[in-house]
Amino acid sequence: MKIRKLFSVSTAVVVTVSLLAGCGGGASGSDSGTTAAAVKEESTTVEVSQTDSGDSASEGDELSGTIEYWSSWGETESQAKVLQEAADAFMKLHPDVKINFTFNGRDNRYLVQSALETGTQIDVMDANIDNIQSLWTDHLLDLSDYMDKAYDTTDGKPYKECVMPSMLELTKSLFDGKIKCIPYIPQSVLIFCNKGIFEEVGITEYPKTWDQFKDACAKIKAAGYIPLTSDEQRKFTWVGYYLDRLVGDERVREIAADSSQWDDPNILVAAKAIEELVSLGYFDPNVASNLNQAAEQDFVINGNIAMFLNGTWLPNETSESTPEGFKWGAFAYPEVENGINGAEAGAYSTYAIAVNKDVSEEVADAAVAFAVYLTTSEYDQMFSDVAKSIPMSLDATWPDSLLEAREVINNYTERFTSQTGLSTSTNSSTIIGDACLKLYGGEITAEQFVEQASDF
Amino acid sequence: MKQTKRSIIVFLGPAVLLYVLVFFYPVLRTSMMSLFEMNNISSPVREWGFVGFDNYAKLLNTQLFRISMINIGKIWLFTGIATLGLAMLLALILTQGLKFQKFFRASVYLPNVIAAVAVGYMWLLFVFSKSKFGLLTSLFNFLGWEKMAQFQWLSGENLFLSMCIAYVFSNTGYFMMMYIAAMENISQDYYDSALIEGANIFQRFLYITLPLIKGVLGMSTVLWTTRTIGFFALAQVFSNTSTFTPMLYTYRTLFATEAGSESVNPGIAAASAVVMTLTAVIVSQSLKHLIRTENYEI
Repeated sequence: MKIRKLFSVSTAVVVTVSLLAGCGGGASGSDSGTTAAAVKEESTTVEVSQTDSGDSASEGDELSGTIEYWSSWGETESQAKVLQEAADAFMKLHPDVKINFTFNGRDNRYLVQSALETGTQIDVMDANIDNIQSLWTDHLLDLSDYMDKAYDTTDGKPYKECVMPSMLELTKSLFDGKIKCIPYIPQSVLIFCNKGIFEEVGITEYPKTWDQFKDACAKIKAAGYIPLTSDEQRKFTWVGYYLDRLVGDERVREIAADSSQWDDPNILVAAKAIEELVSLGYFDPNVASNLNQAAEQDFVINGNIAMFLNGTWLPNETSESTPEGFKWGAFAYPEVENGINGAEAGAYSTYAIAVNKDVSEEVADAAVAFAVYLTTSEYDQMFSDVAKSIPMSLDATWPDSLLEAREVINNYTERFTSQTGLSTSTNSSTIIGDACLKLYGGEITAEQFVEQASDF
Repeated sequence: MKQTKRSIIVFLGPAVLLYVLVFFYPVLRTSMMSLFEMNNISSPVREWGFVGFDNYAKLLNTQLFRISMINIGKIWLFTGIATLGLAMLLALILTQGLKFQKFFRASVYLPNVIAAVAVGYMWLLFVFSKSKFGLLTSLFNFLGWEKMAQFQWLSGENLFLSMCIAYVFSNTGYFMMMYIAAMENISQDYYDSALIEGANIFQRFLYITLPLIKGVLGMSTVLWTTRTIGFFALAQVFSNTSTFTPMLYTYRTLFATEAGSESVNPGIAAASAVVMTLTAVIVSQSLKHLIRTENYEI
């Protein structure tokens, strides 16, 4: 009897732990939709077919090898489609090269890590550059030497002279002066605006200081529009950017990681500044209940909201619902009183392509040649045209919706974390983010914000 | 066939082997991981560093984890009462031989086969949303119930309630079918006899149905516990401190978010999984003792 009981209890333990933890990548059971099951569904291997091989191959082509490429885009995303088309064209030019894609979506960052450590063959992988640095560093090939070479699509110039220098600098800064990945699809978080509203209320110049910003909000509000919005996905940005301007991103990261740092009076200063905007009625009344990307859709569909502190992915994510004639504008977060930085500093990042250090030289050459081709050929422009993302090549034309963002981004010399320093700690980000949304919604005061956000 | 040691090994072998590989090994590894620190979940054991119970100490000192444990307790209790109660009520109604009974049963069960993520987004974008697509806002506006039309279903303080409604919606059908199966197993003779004796519907339920499905009731509460402790998808979709659950905490600590990839800590994630397991086992065993089943001949 005792043995039976012991067996029954141990079975219960085993089954439950397996449900909860065996998991690693997520659990079983009906609630684990976004974990293992979803990953499996989302992860689709696509073998790009090789057509008319040899027809257009350049004679004496030295590139060859099979490249297993794991990507952070979902198969149906426009970025993935451009990648596939580029690979198709590249293989036509180099018939001895074969590229097999596996599109894992954003979970790629940890799927690659686990797969590499268990010996899965992955030659090329892409992700957000911060994720590459924090999760894959040990597996990366140093690509610095490739930057000085000229390629078919660089007009005889070294590659490094053909793409955005700020992104290569970013790579160097993250990898001890080395280029360990090739950036593509750069991104930045800045203030996007409905330029039509700005023109209608007579704002001809974007605000540069906090006072000018408040004046602009007042004009917009007086004309019957909602000056500002946010949502659950971008909840850190209004407070986070203010703090980043005030004390710098590094300090904000410390604050986000350690609740004992929240007696810093600068946090209350930032919260008070935002509280003032709230008290003047500048935020969307529904802001506290804007889950996921709800505000993004409202921003373009309703046409009554003037500003949204969001990423350069915004025009692409809303492209299906943006009405014709919607005028996109963008400008840098204004300077704040006693702040240590201004428009030269901003939140930006990039996706990047990395090569596994264990690949043969032959595959490495082919992989880098493909990354170069992707970022300097017409496919770089296609990222701009189709996926409305920022092109890497200096010669490419930016999408109309990001033309003003380009001016802001080109001005950057200092970097904030992608969603500002406040978002960087798993233990605190949910708590701080909720407090931010409550602050924007007028549910709590600045003092309560500090109290609630520091309770982690 | 004569039962020999060899035949026992042959027949039990594959099942035991699978059990050890698929269940026992992950459990053992996770429990071990909770006592070590490592870079990521697939780091080889030689790279693990022993930290003893430090991971547990850190975990229990983490406010977000403590909040998530309180949340899961509330979800288990409140949505448990609502789901199992509603399932019982619907099972009772749908075993009375109503017209279109099968259709209603299928309709109530349907949400259970839809992925939890899809259910979550459906409620979020089409039911609770305050935009022009929000069903509840439109409905209350149509009815002229201004106060309810203005209700912020998705604001921080109401988000927990909204998520619970969605969870009850997607789980009721599963338990209803379980209760229906148990009720239909009860002989009609008992009811006929009680009817002749003059018992009303409540008495019939209380003195016949309830005692005879007690075993299934007990099983459903244990199942409810194991389902709920793994609460994840809706917590991810509704994403707020008030809806944060231990499973989501484990996931985020194991893989982090795109913005917080430096916060990965598999040791603490494993400790969190072990704590949840122990909680589930203790609660399940307590429930089993609480709802003892007597054997009836039906």
